Amino acid sequence: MTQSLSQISLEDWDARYADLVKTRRVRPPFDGPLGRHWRDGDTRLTKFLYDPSPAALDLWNFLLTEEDRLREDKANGKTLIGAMKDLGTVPVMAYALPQTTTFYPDGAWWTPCLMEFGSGVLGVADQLGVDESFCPVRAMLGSFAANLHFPVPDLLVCSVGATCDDFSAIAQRVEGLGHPILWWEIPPRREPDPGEPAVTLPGGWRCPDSQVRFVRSELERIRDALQTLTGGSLADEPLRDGIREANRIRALLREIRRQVFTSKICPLPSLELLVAEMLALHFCSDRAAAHRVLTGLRDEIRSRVSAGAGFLGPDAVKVYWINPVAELRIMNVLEECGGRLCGTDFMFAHALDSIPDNLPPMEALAHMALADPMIGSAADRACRICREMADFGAEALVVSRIPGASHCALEGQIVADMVASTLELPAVEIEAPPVGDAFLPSIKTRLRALTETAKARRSR
Amino acid sequence: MEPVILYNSPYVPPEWIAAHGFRPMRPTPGSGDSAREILSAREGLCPWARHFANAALSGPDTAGVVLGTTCDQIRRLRDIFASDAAIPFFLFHVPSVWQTASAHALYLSELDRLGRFLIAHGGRSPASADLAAVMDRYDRERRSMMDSVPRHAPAGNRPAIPIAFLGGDLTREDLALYAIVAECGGRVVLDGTETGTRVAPARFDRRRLAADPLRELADAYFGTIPDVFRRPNSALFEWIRRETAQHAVRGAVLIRQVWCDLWHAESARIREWLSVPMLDLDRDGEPCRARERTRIQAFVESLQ
Repeated sequence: MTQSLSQISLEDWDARYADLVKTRRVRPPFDGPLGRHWRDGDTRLTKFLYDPSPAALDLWNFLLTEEDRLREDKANGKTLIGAMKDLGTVPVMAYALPQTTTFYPDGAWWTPCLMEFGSGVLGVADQLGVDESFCPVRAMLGSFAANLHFPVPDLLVCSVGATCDDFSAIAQRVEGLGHPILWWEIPPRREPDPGEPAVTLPGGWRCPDSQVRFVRSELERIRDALQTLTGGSLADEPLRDGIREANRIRALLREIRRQVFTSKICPLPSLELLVAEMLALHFCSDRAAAHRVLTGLRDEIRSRVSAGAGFLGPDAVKVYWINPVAELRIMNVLEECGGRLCGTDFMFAHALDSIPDNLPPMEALAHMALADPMIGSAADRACRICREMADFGAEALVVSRIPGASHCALEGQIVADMVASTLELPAVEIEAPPVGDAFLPSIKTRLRALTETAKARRSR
Repeated sequence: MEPVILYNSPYVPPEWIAAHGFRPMRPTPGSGDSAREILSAREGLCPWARHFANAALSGPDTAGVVLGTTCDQIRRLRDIFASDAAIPFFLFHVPSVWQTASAHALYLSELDRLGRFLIAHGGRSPASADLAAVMDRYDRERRSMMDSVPRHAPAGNRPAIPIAFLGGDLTREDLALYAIVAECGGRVVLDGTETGTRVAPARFDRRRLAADPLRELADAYFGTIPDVFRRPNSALFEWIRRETAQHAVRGAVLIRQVWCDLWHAESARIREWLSVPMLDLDRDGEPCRARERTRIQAFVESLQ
């Protein structure tokens, strides 16, 4: 017996919120009707379809209250760290300090989508000469320039080297606005030379020990800066605790992913999965709350799986998805086209892997930083994707190109070709700007063609 | 004739390649360099990177290619080169961070690794004295070239408007821009592109050259060349301000390849930084057309 669930609209959520409040014994401090965010300017929310569970409501409220929580932290005297680009390493360190909150100003890249350009930050970036030929992360520059969407951090830390040009260039412009940045180098991960001492990283890649030592020394510079700024100690013991806490959250996410990707009926829509995965990066500025939110989501998924409840039917096409979307509505479109997620690489697979707990903490963090899928070759990334696609039973691949991102010019085709030649599965590339209404019909056509092709192959 | 090693970046010292018994060549690639187009033009792809890959992968006499990773587009060419097993290639990581001892050490270790790559592909391990001799020769040749007269002077007797070229790598098609400036009554007195004087390494110190040539090589290249990709890139802006004043430049042309985010993002800041007018010229790897000529003409005229 299976129970079919349906996604609901923002209007539906607000209509049922009053009843929900009566039945919930414990409500998180960020609880409230979703519609308040729409009234605050997140106008795109009316275009999405949502998971109808209280756990998903908590997830959305947690995400959409981040700016308020950051400002509250600042007002309460907490130290704010702005980590940039490394996606998952620096926050693990900084959250090991008391009275410190770390976030990614990069996260502003969803603001133009959520606010349907209402915030004006892209216009500010335009005025600074960083136009639409750049990745939507240019919203970060506009946010710094206009002092919108997040308080100015007490310390900015940015990884460079094997990173996207657009990000590196935009971060440099942020510094040019008068916000000093502690730059740290992440070299391109490379294969060890014959006979060269090497290590195996989370995710299975190998790299020379010398690269680990170098990255560790770069992270030591960040440790020094954090300690100097906060006056706190980032000795190995608190770092170990920080790694343990991060691993608890990563373990939750891995379980959520496994259930979502492998259950007979999909227990969570793709939009909520994308948001949940994002919590791995900086815990949405509150590590303890992130753990509670994800635990609630995990429990909801468990109960659905055991009850055979979920979205779409067992017939849904299992799709592996590469790169996050600037236009969140696209994730709903996947389901409208009969697809469900069966594997993701949203550019931060390393932030979902467990950080080694059998190594000195700084070395473990260097291992993790070097496991970033974006700092190796596209072929490396494609290998991991192929492995996961096979493990999860994916039937098709979507490569979501990020408009203007320097890595997308070559990478998508290389990955798609490798998937086609290794697994003989169909793949499509799609691309849409942050508000992509004009692009959605063609994206829908492409995704529908993909799911139809995948279904047709089942009967072969 | 020694076998050719192609390289792309001014941060890869040709002296090091030559000392290993190869002929270093940093091409100015252009369309039509290759019989088969391995990389075709596509949205987001830097035209210079495309031309370079096509030239390197189809060149019959190349013993190897060194890709200096001063930008993401070049770093990602490694997947294209890896799929063509015929030509050995080496990814040379040029750190973006430059103000720390560990970044210098990383650069030095990359030189060391490059040396091993060259030896593995038929090169010889240079003795210190041999390296020092090669460096000395390159240093003298470089100074001699830099002292020579600029290539293009305007026709007629009218005094030329002193112009600076700024920007990144130039394709062969872009070289026509020097002549166009001259035809329009200007003269390029300062070349701040990736093939100009900006990227010349510092003159070698005789004493250090004799004592530890490899370290001196690393210091001269990694320690002194200002560039847009470096973090922070403040040295580039200091160079621009100092050199444009020293050369009495009256206008600057920023030449950038379309999809080159690094130069594009700094265009507005360079304009602010300069005390003279600037023309922002985006190029697509194709021959210069009326568009470029008209824009340069109008720009030079406005400086008269």
